[in-house]
Amino acid sequence: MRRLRPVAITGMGCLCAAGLDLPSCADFLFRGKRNPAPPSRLAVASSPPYPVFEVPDPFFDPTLLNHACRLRNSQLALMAVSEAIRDAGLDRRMLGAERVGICIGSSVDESIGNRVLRQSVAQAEIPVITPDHRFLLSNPAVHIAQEFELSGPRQTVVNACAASADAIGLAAAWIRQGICDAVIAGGVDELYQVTYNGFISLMNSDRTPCKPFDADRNGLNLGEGAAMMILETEELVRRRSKSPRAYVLGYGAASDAYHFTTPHPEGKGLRLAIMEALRAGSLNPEDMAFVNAHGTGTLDNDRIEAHVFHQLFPQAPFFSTKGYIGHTLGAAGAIDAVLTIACLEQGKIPGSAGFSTPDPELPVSPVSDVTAISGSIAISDTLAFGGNNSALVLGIEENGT
Amino acid sequence: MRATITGIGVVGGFGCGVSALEMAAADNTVIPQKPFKIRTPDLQADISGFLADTTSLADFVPRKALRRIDHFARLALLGSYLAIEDAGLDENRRGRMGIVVATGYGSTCDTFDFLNTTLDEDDPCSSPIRFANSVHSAAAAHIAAFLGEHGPTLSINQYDMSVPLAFLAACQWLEEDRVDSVLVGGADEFSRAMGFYTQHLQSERKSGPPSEASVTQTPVGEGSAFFVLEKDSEEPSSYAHVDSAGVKAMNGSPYDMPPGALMIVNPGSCRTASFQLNTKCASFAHLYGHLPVGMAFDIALAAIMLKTGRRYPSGLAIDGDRRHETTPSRAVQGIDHQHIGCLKFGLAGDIGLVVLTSGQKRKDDRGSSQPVSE
Repeated sequence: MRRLRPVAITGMGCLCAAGLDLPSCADFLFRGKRNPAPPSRLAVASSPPYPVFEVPDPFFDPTLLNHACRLRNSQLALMAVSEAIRDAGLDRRMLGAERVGICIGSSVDESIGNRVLRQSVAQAEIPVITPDHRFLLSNPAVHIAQEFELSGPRQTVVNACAASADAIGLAAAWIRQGICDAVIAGGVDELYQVTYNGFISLMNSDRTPCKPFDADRNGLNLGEGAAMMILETEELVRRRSKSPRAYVLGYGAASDAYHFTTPHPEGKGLRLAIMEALRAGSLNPEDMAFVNAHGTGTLDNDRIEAHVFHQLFPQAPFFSTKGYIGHTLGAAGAIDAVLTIACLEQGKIPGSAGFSTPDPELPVSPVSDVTAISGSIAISDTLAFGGNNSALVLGIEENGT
Repeated sequence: MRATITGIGVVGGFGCGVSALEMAAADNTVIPQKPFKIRTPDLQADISGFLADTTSLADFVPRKALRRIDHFARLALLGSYLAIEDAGLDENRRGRMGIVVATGYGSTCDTFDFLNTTLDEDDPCSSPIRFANSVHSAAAAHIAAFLGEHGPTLSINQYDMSVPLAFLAACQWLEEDRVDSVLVGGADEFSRAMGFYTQHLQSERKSGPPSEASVTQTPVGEGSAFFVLEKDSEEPSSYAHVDSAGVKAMNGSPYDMPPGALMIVNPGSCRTASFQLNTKCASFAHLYGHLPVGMAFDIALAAIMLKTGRRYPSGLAIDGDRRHETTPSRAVQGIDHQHIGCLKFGLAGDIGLVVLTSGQKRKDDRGSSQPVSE
């Protein structure tokens, strides 16, 4: 892996249970509160229901858009894109004049449309939608392209919980290789009955608010949301006289090649992904001001991450956002990426919500209170179903110093 | 971008392996099977499809190890093993291998089964295996685990544009030296739901324009087509070079194709009929059926044609000046034998293109700069 050029991030947007834009999400984390609650939109059989972190309604502002959009997943994505575009100082005319691509990570994506398809098949009715329409109705990348009349490639990455970190890594390559002038990159996932019941069936859900890295952790809580960033070429940044807000300095991905739902016991894939991301930026572990952990609250995930952090980043403080916003699955990598940059900008990281009792089997523990950090670079990692591991190295200075 | 196709693995209604696909292309026919009947007050139909048999996966993997692997992942696994075998790529020569899997539908059988239990029966304790297999990245994960590969894995689900995007990502990884080789391909499985809707679509469109009707009357297909891509190689055993791969909106700047180059057009979208193509075109969907990742089979046929110099009869002529002609068994003649483009018109208004060049042509051009991607 050779050193790769940093890619400029000129705008960001985010909404999740912590807030409806990035500044309010970041502020929420530093207030140390959290609001998990039973799902309000899902029909649930379990009693009592498992808590989730929903985006508060109403979050969708149709007046910002030219096209109608009824699907919650795409509404979440469009709101995050709208914020990112505003933050980047772009407008529709400018977007239409450039080669702008879209690279979105999602785990729900087209499965949403399957609900309607399945209903018709089960009842042997004349279909109300076709597989073609299912795709058009439920693909956020298509909706974003149509709304902003974009001409570049549009792609949906479905690498489960690592999807949007991978989407950002791929989008950075589109910029470096001249495929696009700008890319809207990020992730989105709405709460969905299949994933809600799926994690229960795997016995990975906690009936109480999740406790990442805590000795008494007992699983995850699901969340929902979206985060998007605008990546631009050096040439476009120069032409617009726009100061980048941050940079993608490195990206790495690796497979555990071990088990579908259990991470490699020694975190082999995670270590490989982190090392590749550092090499891509010609950086060392000690350059990291902090680590934004995946930290879902499941026994295996947190144990693997803690051991890898102890080996690679023994001095770096780390935390998990999952205690504040739940596990947003395909959106998690992107939400953690924009929150990582927000933390770098503020020079501090939040306490890891839900953590209070150190686990004697873990060699390191997350910070439990707001902690000042020094440095301009941090790393955010994700672990996913299927043994996908991804890492993004992000910085607020181009040269990483 | 510097990538060479050094191995191909295909499985579909035509059979299993490159020779089966070549034979079907030479014979110009594959007979679809009729897997089930639909009887409703409004629709009575035998749903036919090109179904793929994965029995020969047992040549590569112990049967016991496949117990929890569903049909979709088996299709992808078999295509992967065949491609690696075809490339003669043993573990020592693979280096760090990346895996990219494109799919339009994902694991539809498990997805619908899981939906049935969670939505109809409201059962929160339904099968965790079915849930795990319904996740779109399942196939790539199983491939990585069986091959013991620790490189990056990527699953792309952009419906009919998934294949050109997968090739774009694979070439990017090679370009950035993330990997030494990439196993890239597409897979989709037949399911009752997809067959049901395809049949409905066909019955609705029988009265449409000739080209549109013939496109939608192609039986639904399933299968996988995988490729081993390595950094630019002049190995005589290699198939072809990937000159470019990409996707863009139909209203964007036009693609450049070498004059006279053959264009294999994957139908599947009625937009084909309204797009003017100023080059020789062919279609081979009649060999593998109607499926979102059908373009992967076109790329396999293009690579085989560039390597062997053979040409196969087209199932559907889509010349610019005869857009609505549907002439089976029309041989493709008078073409540039060095380049073949594989083109797909996307449902959402985008165009996917993968351009292959023969090894000989690349040698002639060595030293000149080629467009690396669209």
